[in-house]
Amino acid sequence: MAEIRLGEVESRFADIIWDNEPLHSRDLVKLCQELLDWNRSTTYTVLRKLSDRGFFKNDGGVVSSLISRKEFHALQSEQFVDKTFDGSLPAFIAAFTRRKALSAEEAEQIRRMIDQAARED
Amino acid sequence: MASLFLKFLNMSITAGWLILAVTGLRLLLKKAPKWQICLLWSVVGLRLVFPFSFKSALSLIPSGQTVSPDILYSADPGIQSGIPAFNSWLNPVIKETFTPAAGASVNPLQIWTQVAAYVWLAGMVLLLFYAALSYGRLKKKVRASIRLEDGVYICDEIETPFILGLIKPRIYLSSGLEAGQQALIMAHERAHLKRRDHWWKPLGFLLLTLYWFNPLSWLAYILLCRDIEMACDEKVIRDLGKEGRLEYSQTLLASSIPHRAIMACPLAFGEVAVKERIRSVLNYKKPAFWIILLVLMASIVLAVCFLTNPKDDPVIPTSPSGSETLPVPAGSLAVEWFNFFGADDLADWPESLETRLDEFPGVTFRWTAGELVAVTEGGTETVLLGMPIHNVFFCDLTGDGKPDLCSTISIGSGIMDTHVVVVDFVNRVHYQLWHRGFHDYDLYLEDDVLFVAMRPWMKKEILESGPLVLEDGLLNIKGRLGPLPRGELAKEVEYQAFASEVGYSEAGYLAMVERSENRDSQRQYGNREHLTPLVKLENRADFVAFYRDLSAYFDFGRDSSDSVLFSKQAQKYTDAFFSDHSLFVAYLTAGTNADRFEILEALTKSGQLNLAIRRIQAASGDTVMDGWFLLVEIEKAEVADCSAYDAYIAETTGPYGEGNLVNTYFYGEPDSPDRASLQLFDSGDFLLDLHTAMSYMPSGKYVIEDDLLTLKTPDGQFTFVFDRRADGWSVKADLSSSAYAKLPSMADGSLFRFTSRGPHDRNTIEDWLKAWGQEDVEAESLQLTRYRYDGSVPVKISQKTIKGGQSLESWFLRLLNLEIMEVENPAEAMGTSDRLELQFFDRENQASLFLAFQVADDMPDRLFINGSFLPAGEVIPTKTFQVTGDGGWGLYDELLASLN
Repeated sequence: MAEIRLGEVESRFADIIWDNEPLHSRDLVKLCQELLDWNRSTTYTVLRKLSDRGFFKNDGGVVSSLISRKEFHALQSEQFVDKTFDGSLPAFIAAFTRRKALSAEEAEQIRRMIDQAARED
Repeated sequence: MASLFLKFLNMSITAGWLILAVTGLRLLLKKAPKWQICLLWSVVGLRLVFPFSFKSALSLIPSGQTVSPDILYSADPGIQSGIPAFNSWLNPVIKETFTPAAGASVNPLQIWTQVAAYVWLAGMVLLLFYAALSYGRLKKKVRASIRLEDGVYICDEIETPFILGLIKPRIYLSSGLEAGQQALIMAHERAHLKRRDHWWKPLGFLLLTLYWFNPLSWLAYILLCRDIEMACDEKVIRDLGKEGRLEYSQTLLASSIPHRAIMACPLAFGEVAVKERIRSVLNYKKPAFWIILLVLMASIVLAVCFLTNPKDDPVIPTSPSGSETLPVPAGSLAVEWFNFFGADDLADWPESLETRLDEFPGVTFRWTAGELVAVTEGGTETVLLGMPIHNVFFCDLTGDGKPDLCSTISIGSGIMDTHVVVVDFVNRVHYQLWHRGFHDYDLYLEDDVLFVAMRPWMKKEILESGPLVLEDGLLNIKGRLGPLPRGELAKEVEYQAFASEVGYSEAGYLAMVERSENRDSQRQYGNREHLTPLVKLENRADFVAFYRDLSAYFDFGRDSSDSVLFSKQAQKYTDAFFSDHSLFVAYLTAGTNADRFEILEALTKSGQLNLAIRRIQAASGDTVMDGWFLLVEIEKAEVADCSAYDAYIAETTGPYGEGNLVNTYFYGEPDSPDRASLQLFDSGDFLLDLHTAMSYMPSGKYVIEDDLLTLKTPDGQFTFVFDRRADGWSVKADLSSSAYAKLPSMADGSLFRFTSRGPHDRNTIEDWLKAWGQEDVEAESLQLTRYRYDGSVPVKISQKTIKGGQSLESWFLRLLNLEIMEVENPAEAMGTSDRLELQFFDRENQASLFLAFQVADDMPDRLFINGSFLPAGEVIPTKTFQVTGDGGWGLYDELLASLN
């Protein structure tokens, strides 16, 4: 998959969809008009662009997301780790904990997440 | 096109010198604040924008006109760069390449200039197209943007911030900027807006598109873009501390500022030297006052030295009293003495001008509007006559080393003829270029070269123009194939003339028109107000018939103190008289004032006899219409060659000139006691009726300029100024004489509403409808009714209604385009008659037009149209017209036939 990224303007637009989905494209136009001061064709253009990039789909006028907000943020972090730490999660955690000590509670949470991920494999 | 290109070429060359100077100064003034450098560029801009500039002795521009427009016609083409060495290097090359081959029809340079002009145009179109395209693309890109704050938007699609829009400019920032950077960039963009850079830069680009062919304008544009950026940086950092400046320069480096473009400044020469900018940001010191002063002074010096063209023209004395010697350049260049051509208001002309020339010692030329005389110790000699003499230029066209007097004069007043007369004063020979009735010619000066323009007769547009030359005794346009169209020289004809007062009769006038020789020529001119019917009588029998027929309308036994008795004069016209004479009779109507008429001159020219008549207006008249016969006796031999004859009022003298009424405006309602009116004539005269109860009616010349109508009485006593409104003129009291300010019509803002156009341009029914604002008449159906009209009782004979259809449409169009002439005295023309009423209805079945054809029993060969031309109930009065053009009878017969 190509790099998943949203610009500042695109994220604002994506937020509107994520907050309201599923919604009719007509309503999306209305919301964008209200919140972003966009006209109809601008909304459709951006929607089509983000649909082409696999974020959303427009099925017979009903707009919904293919990538949820959570997934998007997860992918974002993954890309960040990929880019900055060569994909090494330990390196990332090491970098993160070097300056800031983990509380016992946080350490426990992380351990549970790792266990669960290992079991799923 | 080609001459326009040459104009721009010259401007670009002169501006090029200025660009070089500014570029040099820019290097010298590194320490100067950058806004001042921008000021210097504005001087360049001024130079490029304004085609004209003052001449100054301080000018540093080598030549104001490197490429003379004359080069197109020159047998010896060359340029005057103002640098002798350069000229002597380049001119032989030009001469060798472009000198026209003897006998060639056009100068090769003419073709090349034409080609270059088209390339120039193509380049402009290309650049503009490119700009429009970039603008469109940017506009599309920034559609998906979100508002950050007022006038500031964030957009994902752009990499560089910029400003878009001229009137409501918006700042667009690229997304993903850090807060600190964003603030600095916004400060930078706001500084641009404050400096109005979003106007200056496009303006620069616009000038670049005009002058794209000059590499120096590209240099100027690139440097301008840089200087604008640096001036803007300067404005931002002026109030920042050292820290702030450091941060700003980092932002410059890191952010996208360097690759920016203001308002889609199409060509991103944008990589506007970041290094240079950062250095100047870091080195920024508040400029010392003396530097600012120095640069300001440099700008002023620059402006004086480069905004002006080198001074080369002699100062021309035009003061009415001054009589100075006028230096005339040698060769084919000309110098203007005075030129009032186009300034139609004679009241603004000086009364008289005088000048002397070194070449004619002891001679003073004195001009008044009507006459140019040479005053010597021996006396006064007439050089030129005109009505008026519009302009005089001195130029040696004969090549004898002495300047000739080249002049534009007009002859006539009702019918004007403007032509060119060149006087070779040494030999007292006149060369004329005229074509009365077909073309007007006039002279003007373009870059010290005397040009002649050929226009359609009495029209403004120029058909042909070029430098004036005298070749083989004929005035012509330089390089023209064949001579300009011209009339033959007029020959004066001996005549004897008598005026005879015979009274006014509309029917008599029409009878004269019927017999007149000049009916067709007058119709061609379309000016019926001035139709002076001229009847030619060749023998005794002709005369007897004329006398018998016309005595029905006119009083031939009328005794009046200042004219001959026609009945008595008639005894002279015997067979003996007609054996060697022709008699011409012109009928002139005198209106309600006591006008008199006399023959001004009789001329034959191109097989045409022209009788020019002078109308002498009286200061006050009675209220009776009057009419006059002018009897002109001419020997047959004198007019043997003539096949066409014309009489026209060529001159009007008297208290005020009178032309054709063009427009009438009214103040107040028709029955209001405060009603006032304003009439404008095509002769430039006005007549202002201030109030129904006032006997004084100001008259004189009017001028319309910049939507202001100014009326001036010739005695200089009163001025009335009006402002143009959609439906007329409104009084501007603050600019008008205050004497009548108390009259309601002359109060500030009083509206004189347009009411009607003069009758002279109403030749068809459509014209009349237009004049009354009724041109959108609809004809969906027609009710035809035939009457027999006997005195006052119409008896209906038949009636039919025709609904729509092609024939209705075509009838209606033909009806609208019938040529008609208003009949002043309908009662006299109408007796028992056949009447065919046409009543048109629109879609809603409302009456839209109502009129009637009428054929009187006693004038069966004439077709009249009678009607209000308006739906029933409107107030515009009924009028009667005679159908003068062809096609009236045909239409009438067809309509009649459709009834049966």
